[in-house]
Amino acid sequence: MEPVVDMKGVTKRFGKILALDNLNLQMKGKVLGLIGPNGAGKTTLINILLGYTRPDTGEASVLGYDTKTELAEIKRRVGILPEKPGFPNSFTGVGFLTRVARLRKISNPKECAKETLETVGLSQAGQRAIRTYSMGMYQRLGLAQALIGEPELVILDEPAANLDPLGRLDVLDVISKYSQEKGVKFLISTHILYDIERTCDWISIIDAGKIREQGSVEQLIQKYSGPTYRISVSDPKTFASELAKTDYVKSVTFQENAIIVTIKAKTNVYEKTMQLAKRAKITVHEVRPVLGSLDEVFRAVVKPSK
Amino acid sequence: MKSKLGELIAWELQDNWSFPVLEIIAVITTLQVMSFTTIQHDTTILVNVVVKPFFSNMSFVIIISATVVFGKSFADSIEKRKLVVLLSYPVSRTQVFIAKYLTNLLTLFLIFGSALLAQGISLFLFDGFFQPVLWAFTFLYLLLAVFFTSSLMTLISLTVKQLGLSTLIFLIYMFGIEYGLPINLTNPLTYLSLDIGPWASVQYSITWYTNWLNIGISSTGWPPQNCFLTAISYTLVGGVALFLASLVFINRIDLD
Repeated sequence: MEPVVDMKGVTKRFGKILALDNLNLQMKGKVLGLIGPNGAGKTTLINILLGYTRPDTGEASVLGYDTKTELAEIKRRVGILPEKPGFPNSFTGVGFLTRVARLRKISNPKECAKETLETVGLSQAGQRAIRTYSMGMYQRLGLAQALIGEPELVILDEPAANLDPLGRLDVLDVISKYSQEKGVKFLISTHILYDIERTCDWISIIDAGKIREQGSVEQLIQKYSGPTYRISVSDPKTFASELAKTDYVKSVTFQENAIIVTIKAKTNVYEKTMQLAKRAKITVHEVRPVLGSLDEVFRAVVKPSK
Repeated sequence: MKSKLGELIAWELQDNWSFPVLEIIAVITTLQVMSFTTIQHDTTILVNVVVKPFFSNMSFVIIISATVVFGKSFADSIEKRKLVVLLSYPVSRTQVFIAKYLTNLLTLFLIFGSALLAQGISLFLFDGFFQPVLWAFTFLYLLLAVFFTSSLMTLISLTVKQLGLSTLIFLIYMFGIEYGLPINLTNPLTYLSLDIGPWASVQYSITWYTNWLNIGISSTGWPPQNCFLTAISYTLVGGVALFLASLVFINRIDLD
């Protein structure tokens, strides 16, 4: 499979600040996630891919096209939601998207604009001036202008910024829909790990201008997170506090009335759970293995360099 | 379907000239131009009583308009990340620059030129005065004045990338030239002023023209040739240099 994004030896310096440090990156898959702490170099990396910034050294390509010599081809095939975008406030939502569609040479630009607005849940506000939009609506409009015309790849820099929890879930649903039904690839840069975990099949973790780890979500979780189980019991609070006292548990969290527990390796969790439940006089409904969390992966990968 | 440049021009017109920018510039221009009239028919005097007050009144309007329009189009759109959005579509930086620059330059020239045209028409209707060559020179030097100020503000905007700071630098320079230089009509530096340079150039050109055809009035000996050349090279050569520098610059700047 040809990498969607390929970077070799990319270095970028802003004065004394080293934003990207001889970075090598290959991203493969349908929905790609780029995660890292603030100031890790995520936005600089995306800016280089889109030709907003030139690297000091190194090469980068998107969909096999060189960012220095074939930028026009990249722009034709890629839809972009930049970080903190500025849209023309005097335009209406439909008017703006129609102009974007015309620049992208899409046939029936107005129809296409209306359809895309409907996809992101903005059809009611299409005739309003952009200046009257709330922050959440503005972000949805940003998603719409990136999706219009169904490009091969959509790059989203902090797509969930300014969105309420429901809005965030809507955005993730739109990403899933476009990815699964229309075959559109996504590259999402964010620091909200849940969004990445839910939507991405490939992640790259960047920190201090270097890629610290990359691979499929499952691979990384298996590599960095211990065996994780979902335990459903009659009294989750008491059972969780009992679990936390044991020496074989690494972490305990709650998820919808169930306990998510990550244990140290070589522990028979079924036997230990039953023993503990019997002692605490609690009924066990279910114990089943689940994947660990990206949270643990992120902590394990990023922490050592700090 | 329009070409990409056509689409970008339509975009710029709708975005940068939305209410009330166009309306304010048009009203101020009209008020400035309405403030003088003439009944003189002699060409030389006409330069003094029409062209001179026109540039004298309009130099301020040209400077302020260029600040607002080009500052908003370049510095503000970089600062508010509108340029980043526009460049995410399949258009090149050169196309965006040309569309923005031409739209704003021609719209400004259209507004100021319309005012000048109205002045010419009123002179023709009420006084029967018709001197196309004089008006042609006046239009030409008006275009040069707008071209120079536009190019300077564009380069400062692209360099500084902030509306407030680029406005400050531009205004300090322009008003420094307008009010800081000593007014001495034999000193070429005086002709760098947009208040004096363009109308002196009209005076020089129309005198040269009438002398060349051997018609009308003879040369008054003013302005001196070196002063005329200073005024012309400042606006024309300076404007071209600033325009080309801006074009190179927009293709090289980091939009981070």
